[in-house]
Amino acid sequence: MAKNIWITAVLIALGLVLGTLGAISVPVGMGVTNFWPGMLVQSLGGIWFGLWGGLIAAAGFPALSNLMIGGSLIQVIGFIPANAVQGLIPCWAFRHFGMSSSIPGWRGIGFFGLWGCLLPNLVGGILGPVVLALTGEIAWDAYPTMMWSWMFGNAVPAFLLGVPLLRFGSRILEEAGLLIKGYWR
Amino acid sequence: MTRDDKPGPPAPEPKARLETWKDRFRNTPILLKVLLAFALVGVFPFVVMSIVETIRAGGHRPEGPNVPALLVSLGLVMSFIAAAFLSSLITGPLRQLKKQVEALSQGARETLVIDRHDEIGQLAAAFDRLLRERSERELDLRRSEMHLSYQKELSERIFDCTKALIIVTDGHGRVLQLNRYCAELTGYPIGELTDELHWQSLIPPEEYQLVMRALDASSPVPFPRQIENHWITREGDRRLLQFINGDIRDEDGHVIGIVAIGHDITDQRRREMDLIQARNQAELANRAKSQFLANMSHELRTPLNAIIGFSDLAAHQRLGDRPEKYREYASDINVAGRHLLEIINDILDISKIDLGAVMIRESEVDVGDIVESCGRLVAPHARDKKVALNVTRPNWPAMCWADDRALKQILFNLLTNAIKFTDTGGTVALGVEKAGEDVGRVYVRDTGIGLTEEQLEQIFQPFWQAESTLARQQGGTGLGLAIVKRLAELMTGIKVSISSKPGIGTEAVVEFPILKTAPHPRSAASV
Repeated sequence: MAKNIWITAVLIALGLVLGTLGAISVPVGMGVTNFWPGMLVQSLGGIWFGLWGGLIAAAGFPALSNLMIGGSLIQVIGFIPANAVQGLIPCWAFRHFGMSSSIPGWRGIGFFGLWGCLLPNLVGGILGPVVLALTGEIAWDAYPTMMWSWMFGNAVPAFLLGVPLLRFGSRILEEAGLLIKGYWR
Repeated sequence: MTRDDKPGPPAPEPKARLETWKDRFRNTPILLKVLLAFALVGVFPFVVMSIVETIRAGGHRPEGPNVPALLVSLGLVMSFIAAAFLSSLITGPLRQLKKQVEALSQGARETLVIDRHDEIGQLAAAFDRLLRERSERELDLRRSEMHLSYQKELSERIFDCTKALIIVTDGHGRVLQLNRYCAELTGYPIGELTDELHWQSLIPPEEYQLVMRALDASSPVPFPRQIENHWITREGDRRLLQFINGDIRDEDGHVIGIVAIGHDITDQRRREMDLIQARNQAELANRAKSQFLANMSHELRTPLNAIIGFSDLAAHQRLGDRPEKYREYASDINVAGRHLLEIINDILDISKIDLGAVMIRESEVDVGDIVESCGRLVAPHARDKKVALNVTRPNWPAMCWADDRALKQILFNLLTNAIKFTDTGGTVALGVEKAGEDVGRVYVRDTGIGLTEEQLEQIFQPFWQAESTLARQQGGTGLGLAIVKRLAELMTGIKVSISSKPGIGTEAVVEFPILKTAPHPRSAASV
């Protein structure tokens, strides 16, 4: 348990840094960005560390990150469901379909591209801007732009940087006994 | 339950050593340590920069692109990827090596193959060489063990199956080991044979010290030592054994034991003795035959010369008109002719006996009659030689079952011999007496030259005479006693024996079973 808490804390810290930097590097506005490497922490955290990374860390660090960049309460609280979904979907898919975290072969890369990058960020991209539109932070006209920016701004770095990290990192974590193969343990 | 078994207070568990942070770090997988090293070197600066950038740009809404933030975040992730890649590159071969070694230990692999030439590859190659050498050594060892095992088995088989006696002793003659044949030969169990006291009863006392000296390592007699001694078997047989004792030495050359390999040569020695005896007998027979031929040439020539000479004188009347002289010559011719006939008859007799052509017809015989008859036959001869002949007829019915003609010839030959070898003035006695309830004996005693023990052993050999010179003087073929022996053997219950003392005389005895009841109604037995 202590190990899992440590892992979660490290993930939150790392996500906070990456999320904050991503949010300020190519911003679209309202906390949405065209390049958000924090998605790596959400996707890979869920795949590697179950719900510790895929739920707690995935939902936790963006809130802190948004606070760091001076986001509104809507952004801090309202983005939690979208961020949680982005961590949960890869976590569930890899366990449900029995895919190895090393994503072997082209099938593994394709699987990660679909369940680790595309689908979570499609859902997250839909949910996040909806909160902004519903609360009047943005007009509904800006919603598609926000949604596509969210989705691709997350999915592209997650895919490009996630594939090598999963390929090289999974084995290391497995050898070190740090992988959490179930949802919680 | 003894006092020791009573349950006491539980022994305190040894205190587990508390694992310090240092120990934990030391025991952390190399992979993580390498990763941490890379992270410290590669990731930490980016983390610092990221934090600095976050602090610098954070706290207010971003308005435009922030290239430093973008680069720092990219750098941070890339540094993670690089750290993971490098860690994997370094520790991958180690993991491979570990798996192969585990497989080796379980026998699934035979070689270590790491396709690298760096230190890990060299380490693997060194391990592989080590393993190959060890494997070869193990193989050699296994081969040696198998060879050794085979040799041991072979030695044990030879030890137990050979028909030779094998005894292993220490340097002081104490038996350590002996093979199965020792037990087979002696009839004693092997366990008893290793016992020293038993060993003393196995070897005859007069040979014991000899054997012990041959088994004594400190004895100066060089190896291999050859010895012949006897063993007394459980049944009491004396077996003659020939041993060759070899030395067993330690690495320093000291004799630590002796192995004795022996063979039972009893039968071999017996055969050798028989052969020697047979050879001696053959030589004797050959000598006797040569003697006979020499005698015969003389014996046959002498009467023939007399016959030819006297007949020539008579035929040409070379002495003029002297009829009385010619009558004397005719008488001499007659005597010589008879003597010649006698010699020829002897030769024919023994030849017929040897060929089995003599017919023995046994019937009830009065030995007294035969004695009397023989006495009358030889009396003139004894008188001529001035030898006193005392013939005593038994005063009891000396009846036996024999061939009267053969019995008469036996007694005649014995008497003729006695008179022949008794000097003038001597005495020859012929008589019958009882040797027991059912046995009678005819004796022929003389006061002649007598015979030695050696001569007595050969006396029944054909063509043998005690004293060649005397025999020549006396004449004869040397076949008389041989004929006696053969004729006695042809008859039932008749035994002939001769005893003598040189210079005192000789006694020949013919034993016969006394016939008390009416004989069986068989008329004859033929040979």
